Amino acid sequence: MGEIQVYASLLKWVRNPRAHFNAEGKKSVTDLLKELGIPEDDVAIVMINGKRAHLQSPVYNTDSVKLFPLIGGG
Amino acid sequence: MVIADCAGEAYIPWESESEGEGMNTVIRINTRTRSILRETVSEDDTKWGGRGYISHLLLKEVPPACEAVGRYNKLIFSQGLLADTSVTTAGQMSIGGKSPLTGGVKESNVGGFAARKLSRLGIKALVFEDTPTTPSTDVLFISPMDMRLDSMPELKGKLVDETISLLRQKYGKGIGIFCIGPAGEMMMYGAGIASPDSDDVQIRYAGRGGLGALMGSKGVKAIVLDDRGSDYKALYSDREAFQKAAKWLIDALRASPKTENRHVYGTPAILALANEVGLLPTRNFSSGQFEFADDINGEKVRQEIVSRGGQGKSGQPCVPGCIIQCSNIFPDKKGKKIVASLQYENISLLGSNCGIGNLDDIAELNHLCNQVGVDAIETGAALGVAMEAGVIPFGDAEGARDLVRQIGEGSYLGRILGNGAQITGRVLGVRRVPVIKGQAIPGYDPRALKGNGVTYTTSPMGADHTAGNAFETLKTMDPLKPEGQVDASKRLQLRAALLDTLGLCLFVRPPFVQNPEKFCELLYGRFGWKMDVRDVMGMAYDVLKMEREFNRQAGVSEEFFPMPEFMCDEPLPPNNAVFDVPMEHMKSMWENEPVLTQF
Repeated sequence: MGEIQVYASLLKWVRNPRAHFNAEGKKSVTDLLKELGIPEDDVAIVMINGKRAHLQSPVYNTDSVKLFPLIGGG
Repeated sequence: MVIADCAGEAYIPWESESEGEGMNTVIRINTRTRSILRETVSEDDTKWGGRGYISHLLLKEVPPACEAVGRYNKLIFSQGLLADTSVTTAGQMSIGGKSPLTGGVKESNVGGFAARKLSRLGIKALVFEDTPTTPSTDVLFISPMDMRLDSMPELKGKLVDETISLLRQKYGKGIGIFCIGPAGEMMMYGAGIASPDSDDVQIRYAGRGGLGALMGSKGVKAIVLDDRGSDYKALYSDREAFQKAAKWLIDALRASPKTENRHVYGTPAILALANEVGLLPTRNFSSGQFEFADDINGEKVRQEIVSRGGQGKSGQPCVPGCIIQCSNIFPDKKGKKIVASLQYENISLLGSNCGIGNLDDIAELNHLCNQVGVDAIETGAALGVAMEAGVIPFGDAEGARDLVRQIGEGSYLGRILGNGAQITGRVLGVRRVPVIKGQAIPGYDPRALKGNGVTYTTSPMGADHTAGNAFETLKTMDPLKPEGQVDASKRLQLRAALLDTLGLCLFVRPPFVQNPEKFCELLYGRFGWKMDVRDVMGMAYDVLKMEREFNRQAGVSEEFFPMPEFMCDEPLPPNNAVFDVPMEHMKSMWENEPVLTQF
């Protein structure tokens, strides 16, 4: 199972900030968003295993995915 | 069209049909003769506000090579051009002078309640000149009927909370206050200037650059502003046009997802992302990731505020009328306020940079910095350097609290730390010191966010993220690549210079990027100035030109103050990046006129 974590205003779409996913069947980040009910437009930055990724990036069961909304510097 | 050259003279690039009255009263306080003069500024000077007016006055009146805490420097409080209007976030007070810390120009702006009082008194700027011949603890009092320097020796050495409380007892509840703590009185270069909100819950700081030491050098402990009975009213040239643009800004900000995040999670909202992309200062800038980041991020701040309740709150304004409201009140386990507001910068410098991974500890440290009167960024960096030197180990929160208390007590160790990271490193024999132009690098390691490295190096303000923060380029640029960072920083520096001159918060940036003509509408509505976007951006460009000229004459141009060598030599985990934007690219940033037709 892969792990997904969401931050800041994306938390309003999910019950838990952290969830596990099953990536079988060649999934992308977009597919995960649909499963979780998070609107694509709300996601500004996708990180997979600490590296910058995109909505179209494939995900695997070994992956740690982190999603961030649009947030500005302090 | 006349574009001002660096001397800042004859700045009249647009035609005015002004029927609106600008704030044109400047109060000059001579701290040696104790004379207080009210003067009306020239028409040229009414065109400058906030940061721009500070730069303009510095270049005109302060010898760039003077001693920062000597008699020829001036401490300037300057209202933004839109300070006396209802536009949201207006009320940021620009405070400046020649920086004790950098030796160059400094403008640091601060929210709070007092700037509004100053604008209700119709005062554009306060200029403190000269130094007293004997040590003084003075309070400048201004009301519509009176202006005077009150000697208050009973405030000497008092912490910020005690000072505010004694001032309220003497002058009443409804006053606006700026003050310094003992660190400023002792002229420590890490000292800032504090400003509370109306009920003294939020203590805001013009923290950067050591302006608290400059205020201390003038023998001025506090400024008290009483606007009761003032009949000043901003006269609008076209109130309807102004209000239309002001309403547009509110609607546009409400629609921005950045606003929602800032409102709910505050500036700490960015900590998780800063950690994930590896730019979070950790253990004296030796790593960009902190293993306890989840315990100190914006989500955790929010969770503690909600679950602890009591006085804890998110979504607090730092100036009246702000609709973003990114401030918070961080409570202890019993719900009693520890500090307000707990900000990203302070968490990163006092927390991860010191190896401290507990929000209560960080909030306590932040509170202590606010009390003794030092910049939490500079002090967090100095503590990190002291930890590297082995004075106390990384992660020792109790030891760190003791050190900050010592700053207020004025012990020799406290004085070393209170003078900032550079002096701390020099005295303690540490080579890895995160400063540029003598000022500590804030919460974005420049190796992992190279645009900020360019800003730290090239900005007239030294290592200061508010001079052009590239964090917002994370979505569109690779922060690890040197390419494109000089152009990005240039654009960001122009934006910051403009907003600082108007007196608006940097957080109103997003809507104006799409609609820069709204600046023109606001300025037309208030003053009747007919400016196009090019004129408005030209104003920002001229502010930077004046500042760069002041710094050139002061001997603090960027080529003499490069990125610290360890930032160029030591790869930063987890990206193993070094800072590698060539100095010749950074130096040539302003060789060609920037694109001024967009914000």
